[in-house]
Amino acid sequence: MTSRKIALGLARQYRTCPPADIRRLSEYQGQVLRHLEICPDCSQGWDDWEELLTGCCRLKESDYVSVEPVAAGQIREIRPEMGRWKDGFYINPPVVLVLDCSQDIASVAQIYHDTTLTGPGDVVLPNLIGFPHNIFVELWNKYDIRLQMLGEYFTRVSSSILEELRQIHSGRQNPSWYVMPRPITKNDPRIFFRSMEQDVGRLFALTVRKTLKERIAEMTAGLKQINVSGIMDIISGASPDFRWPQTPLGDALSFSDDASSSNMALAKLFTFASGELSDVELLTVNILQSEIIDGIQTIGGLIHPIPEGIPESDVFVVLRAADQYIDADTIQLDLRSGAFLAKFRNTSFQHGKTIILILRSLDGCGANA
Amino acid sequence: MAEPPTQNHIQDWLGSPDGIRLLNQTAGAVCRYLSLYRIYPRFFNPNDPSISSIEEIRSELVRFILESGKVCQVLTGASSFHAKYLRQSFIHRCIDSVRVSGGDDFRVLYRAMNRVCRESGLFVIEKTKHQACRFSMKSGSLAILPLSEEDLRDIAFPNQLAFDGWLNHITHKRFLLPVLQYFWESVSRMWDNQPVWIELRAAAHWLLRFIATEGSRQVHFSEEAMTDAMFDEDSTTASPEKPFEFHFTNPAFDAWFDPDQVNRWASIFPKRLSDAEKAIFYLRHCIELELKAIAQRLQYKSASGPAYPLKKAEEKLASFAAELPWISPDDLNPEAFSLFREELCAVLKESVSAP
Repeated sequence: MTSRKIALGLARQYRTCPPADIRRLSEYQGQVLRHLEICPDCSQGWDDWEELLTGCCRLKESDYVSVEPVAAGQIREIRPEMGRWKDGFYINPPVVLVLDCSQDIASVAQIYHDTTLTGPGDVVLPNLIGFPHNIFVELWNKYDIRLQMLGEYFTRVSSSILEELRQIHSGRQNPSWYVMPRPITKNDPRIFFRSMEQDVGRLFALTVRKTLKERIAEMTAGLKQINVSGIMDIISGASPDFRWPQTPLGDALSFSDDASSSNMALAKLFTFASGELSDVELLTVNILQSEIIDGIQTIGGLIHPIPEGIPESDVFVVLRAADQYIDADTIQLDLRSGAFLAKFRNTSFQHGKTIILILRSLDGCGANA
Repeated sequence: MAEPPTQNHIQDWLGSPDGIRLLNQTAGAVCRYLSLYRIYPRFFNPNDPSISSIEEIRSELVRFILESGKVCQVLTGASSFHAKYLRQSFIHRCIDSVRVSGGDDFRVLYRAMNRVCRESGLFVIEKTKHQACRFSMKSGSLAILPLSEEDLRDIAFPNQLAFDGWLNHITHKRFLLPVLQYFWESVSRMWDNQPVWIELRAAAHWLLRFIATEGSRQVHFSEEAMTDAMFDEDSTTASPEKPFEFHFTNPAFDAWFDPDQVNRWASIFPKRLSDAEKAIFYLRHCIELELKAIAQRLQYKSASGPAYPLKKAEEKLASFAAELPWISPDDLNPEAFSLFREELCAVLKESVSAP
């Protein structure tokens, strides 16, 4: 019998504290010091399990390197060198279950190994051959990654279990081995665990951009009074130069052309509060780079000042040419400096206008909630 | 693939100066952790968190590593995924070791529950593949994971059940049957009213939570006396000479906390806030100004200006506290929280008034 609170603390150390080899690198000393300032665990002194175990592992003559090609059903780690610093925490790459894979992209679900933290949407896997832990798959935390990001191959689930996972996820049928998690309760440590898991996944996921329509639908989910088209009407009303074209909304945003020049982007911040659009502001965005690199239209610039409380996933960069619109395929955004880099695989819009749309929810129902 | 090291290789390495040094460091970290969360396994003396405690933990670590083939398998995995898993396993083992260290009390109660379940006809009982006993009031129930501390805490003692404080009555069928029924129904309700399989040991752990303690040790009750009295409906003849001083306590309430830790957290938390969040949080929660007044003081256009940073800061605090004892809502210790707030305000005041 274990405690979810303790399990949460351990999970945070596991996911967000820098491992020993990272702590030793001189280039990271600034981040390490920052981490020590804000982490209640590491500020008490480093835990040396890792070194202890590394010592044991050194007894091996050489490491086993997997040459097995990536395939559905495999449990693999995301390569350790993909770990990244974020706001004073070192995000350690998770282990994932490969659900599906194509030539260069794999669809994966994140895995965690302390079953104390399982909740709705998590599935504890039945005994895995050659794998000593009980682990669970976060079927609610799925994303796409590039195949080359996948590292060591631990074990695999059979194709029948993979199929059963799909059945569970679709709510059709639970297999006999299925273990039912307790629903989330008030003040449940699992709420914070899930939020962390989602943040971790988001950091490694190929940014498959949600369309604006999907995002608005998410922000207004649960509101009884206002539906998505209602919100769109409000946006249109609040911002006369903003019109929704007849084309499918996800790809379409409209601004008047007058406000832009080649080194400026059209940018607006839409703030939602209590299910209503409470504010629309024009923002200054300088475009510092616009070019085709390796067949990809790349646009970089600076949103300054960047409004507080904007999750990376709520910034949309759109190119418009001749009343046609495309969303960026990936966007990288530094939330401190406001620097961004948007990439478009479709290069036929290279002379289009850059439009930036930022959604902010004050209700905590945004992507980071 | 290289040949994995044998258990002997690992044992030799653990005994080397390098191994001992790392084991000591790890044991030190575990020691701090156990003290913080007040986890007192049988090999850890909380009153002596010094060298001897660390040595005890170190020995337990070596036992933990060597006694299980599973752990050795993990050790040779050469992956940080496995490495960090071990820390969790060891801490969970410590928690488990606390629970069973009640030893006789637990075993006696567990056996009594087992017999009541089997003989009452009200329950179905079976062994899981890991040889644990589980029970349910319905066949075809759902499997669930072992109940956590929080799950047990959510189940209050049933006030309607009379309990006269006599030792033998704790394990008496007349008492245990309704208790087990109540426990099963409570857990089922927690799982959306679905019939569930529950590990029997969870029921014993839960009931033991309500038994008063003497000092740091649970009241010990003799197995012999228990067994004699257990299934005797007219147990008055088997009553011990004097009743034990059992009281049903509220296990969630624990007045002890560590003020040094609480102060430390209060000094760490503000470092997670932006300057704006610090100022607004301070004015709202330490000076207790309304949003409108905060907006005026910080020259926002309207009261909605500081609303977002305030919400962000509050969310950060909730998240920060979620893993810590005493200062989060699920196990709040009012005195600890008050100290935390006081210290936090003092730190914020300093940083807000700094140029």
